[in-house]
Amino acid sequence: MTLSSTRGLVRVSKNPDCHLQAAMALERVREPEFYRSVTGTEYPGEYGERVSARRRGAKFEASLRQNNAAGLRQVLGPLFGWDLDSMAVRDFGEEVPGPPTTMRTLRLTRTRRILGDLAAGREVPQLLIQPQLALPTGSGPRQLEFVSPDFMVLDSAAGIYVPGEEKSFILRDNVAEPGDLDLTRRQAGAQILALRAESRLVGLADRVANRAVFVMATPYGMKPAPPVVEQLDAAVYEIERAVATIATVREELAMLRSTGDAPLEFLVDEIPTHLQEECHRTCILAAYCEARQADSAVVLGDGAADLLGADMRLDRVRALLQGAPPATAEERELVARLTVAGRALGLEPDDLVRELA
Amino acid sequence: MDSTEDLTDTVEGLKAQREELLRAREQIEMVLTRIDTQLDQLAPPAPAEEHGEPSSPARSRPRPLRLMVLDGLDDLGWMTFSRQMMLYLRARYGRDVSPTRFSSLAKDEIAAFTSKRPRSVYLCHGLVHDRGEAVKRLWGRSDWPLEQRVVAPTTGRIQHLKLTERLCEIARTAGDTAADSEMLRFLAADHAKDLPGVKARRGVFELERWQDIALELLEELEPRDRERREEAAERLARLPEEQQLFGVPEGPLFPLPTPGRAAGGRPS
Repeated sequence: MTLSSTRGLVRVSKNPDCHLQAAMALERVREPEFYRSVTGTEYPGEYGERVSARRRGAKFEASLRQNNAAGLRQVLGPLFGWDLDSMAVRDFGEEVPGPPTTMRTLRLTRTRRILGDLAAGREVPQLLIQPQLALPTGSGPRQLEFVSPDFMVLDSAAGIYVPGEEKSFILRDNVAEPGDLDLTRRQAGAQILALRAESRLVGLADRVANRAVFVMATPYGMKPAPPVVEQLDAAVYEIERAVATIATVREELAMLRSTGDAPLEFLVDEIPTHLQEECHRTCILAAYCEARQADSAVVLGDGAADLLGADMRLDRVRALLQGAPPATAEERELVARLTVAGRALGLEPDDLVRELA
Repeated sequence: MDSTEDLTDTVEGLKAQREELLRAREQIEMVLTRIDTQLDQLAPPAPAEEHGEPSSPARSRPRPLRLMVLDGLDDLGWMTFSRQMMLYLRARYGRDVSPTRFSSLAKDEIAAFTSKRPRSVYLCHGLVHDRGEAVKRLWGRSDWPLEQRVVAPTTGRIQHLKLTERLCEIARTAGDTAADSEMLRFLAADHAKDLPGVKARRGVFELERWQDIALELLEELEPRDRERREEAAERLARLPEEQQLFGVPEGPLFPLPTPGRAAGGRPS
């Protein structure tokens, strides 16, 4: 699985200070292969989405799209001002199948023509399934990420499409798991930005609001729950930061390669990273980064990094607790805070030293 | 020189002979296919075997996929998506087709059209009404009129209704000769469940009622759709024949970033 497109943008948005991850996204690395070339060993853990989850997702999507997308029309039509029986559907999954290398540009061409028709006041379909958008991440013609919403529905009031995601996770009393929703919102954030970029080409950018629609499952089989339209200002902001990070890292890589055309795995030690707890859930290189930063406060977790400073050496903390004179005001304050915190837990400074060993 | 010319003549002769044989084989296969189908329909239902195997008609030889699909389209009478065709062929004829086969099928048809081996009928794609782009997973037959292969904004619903109607009909009338008559009924039900007023109930197959609903809706909705398809067909008929069958060519807008450093990482 490559770290590219929306997947890459979402990952970068979760940790924009990690330039290594942004470089991996920029160069569309295949994560397990990249892990092997960096570490020299196979990735020892599980990698990728569970097959059962992927199957459920595919089944849910198929059930919404079959019979001229009857399932989607049924839930989206009334919400966006359309008679569900007269909604016109274009399903790019059926129109342009094939591998991403050829399929994406063809779908993008067709999507752009439809947006052009919309701007020209010509008839357009109300529902686009698997349309293709492109989000620029730099000024060059090839500096872009492909973004593929599950669908886009035309909002009759706003005169523009609204991107949408189909998610098979279960919605109970209109509430989904926060972790699931975070990822979905960031995906939608990328889709909004990409739709805005595409709409700008035909003069419709100001119609694109920071909102998206989610169609999720009920606890009862594959039946869709009522769709949820969300305002996504925060997610859009996070993705904008990710795009900016990618642009910065592109320049950094060009600098690093100004004297030689080194592959990314040879540059790993020269690219800034930013280890955080989330990395262990998302990044294949988390353990590698942790090993590189062993004996620094960051390996104790986000809270310790905040308290001690991510670069603070643990041996220095131990020395301070054992009575070494503080070199700065920050160190003096740190010793005082650790002593108070330790006593609150019934630990003397020596005990803390042992805990940190 | 003479020997080279002789050799060239021989090669050309062999090529021509090969093409002739291929054409003959195709015609024979089509005739055999028709005969097999008719025999299937005339044969009395075979008794169920002791081991509970379905009473499927015996097959003397595997038929080429393109002929199976052409037959399937003939049975269903309307443009059909790959997925629908795959399920239909399995239910009606017991033929398992991998989804990837459809992709090579399309390439073969285009290659056959552009080669010097004309076929009497081609598998072709549905065409989007305004620009003639191909809907690559929507199949039709080249011997159908162009307006029957055009996808107007209203055609998605018509396609669903047409398929529902035909599947109900086939499940009702040819159920006993189908390789898997139960699957055929499920396939009809899977289409009918999105008709207005139909509520799917396990094990209940109201095939006649579903067919009537679909026909009633078609009577109401098809004239407007046909009108739009005919309008579009008039325009698309000006395209070269190859494009009428396989869609207008679409060039990519720009080169794609691909996995790996060369495409994505370097500033342009």
